[in-house]
Amino acid sequence: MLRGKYRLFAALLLLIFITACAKSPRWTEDASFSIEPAVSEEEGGYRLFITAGFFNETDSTAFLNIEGFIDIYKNNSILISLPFKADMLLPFERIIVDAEADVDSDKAVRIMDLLDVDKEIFFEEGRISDQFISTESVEVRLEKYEREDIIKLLRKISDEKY
Amino acid sequence: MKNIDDSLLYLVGGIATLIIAVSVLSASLYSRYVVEERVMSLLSTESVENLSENYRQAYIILREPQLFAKYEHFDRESRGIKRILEFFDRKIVEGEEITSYDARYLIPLFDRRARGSDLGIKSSIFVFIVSFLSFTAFFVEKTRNRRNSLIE
Repeated sequence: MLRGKYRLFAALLLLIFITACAKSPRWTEDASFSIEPAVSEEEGGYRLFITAGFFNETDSTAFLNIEGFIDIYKNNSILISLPFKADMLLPFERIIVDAEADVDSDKAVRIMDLLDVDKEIFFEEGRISDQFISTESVEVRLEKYEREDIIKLLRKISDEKY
Repeated sequence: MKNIDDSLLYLVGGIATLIIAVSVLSASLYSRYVVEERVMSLLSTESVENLSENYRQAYIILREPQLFAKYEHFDRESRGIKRILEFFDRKIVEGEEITSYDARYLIPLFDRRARGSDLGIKSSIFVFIVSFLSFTAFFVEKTRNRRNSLIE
């Protein structure tokens, strides 16, 4: 059996290995909110958009076919999940993804309360565009993505396109 | 007083540093005389026909960093370099042409690799000196031990 200090050393090495492998697209912790009538205001339906930024902090890994959800929580349970997709996130790049969902006016108001959105604009104009929101109740969940070495990817694309 | 024999320690130290020095020197010389030469020939091409293709090839070669000039390292230049990598990666992925105007931004990448090679060569010289000192200490220790054993 490993002795105390060797066990600690082995655990540290394992931790370094795991954290080195666990790189993923990083949410930039900011998001903006838009809402507009879905079809017609008379039907009471609204289309809600949340725009979030992602950053790839690796120097050599590209992330492809990213899929996930932007979850809005109320009292530790998900009030709504907005799906998003992105084709590609290259090293050191920042991208903006749009997640959208249809909601009725009651739910729209509850969501705006949670996100600290100025509802007056919504009541006056029936829509809101690109308002920054409080991200306390927002969580980004990455469902799946593929990793590819950037040099292999560039060579592959180069061979295909030229 | 008991005489302690450190010769094995010096020998292992000498061999280990020699292996490191040879590995670093080979990687740096390969970068200097094979990779950099190839990039230079691609960048200094005069044929207008394959200009964009040559720049693209040069970039893909430069995208693989030199051992001592990795792009992940945080240094004064890294901010600008990251922007350049982001710019060219996206250009190639989108299938856009690389013009001679864009190619100006390949020079900082080339310079970084060249400086990495320089650093590698200089570091390997330092490690060679350490290795040489270890081997010298090994022979001195061996000679002293032999002399001591003859006296006893």
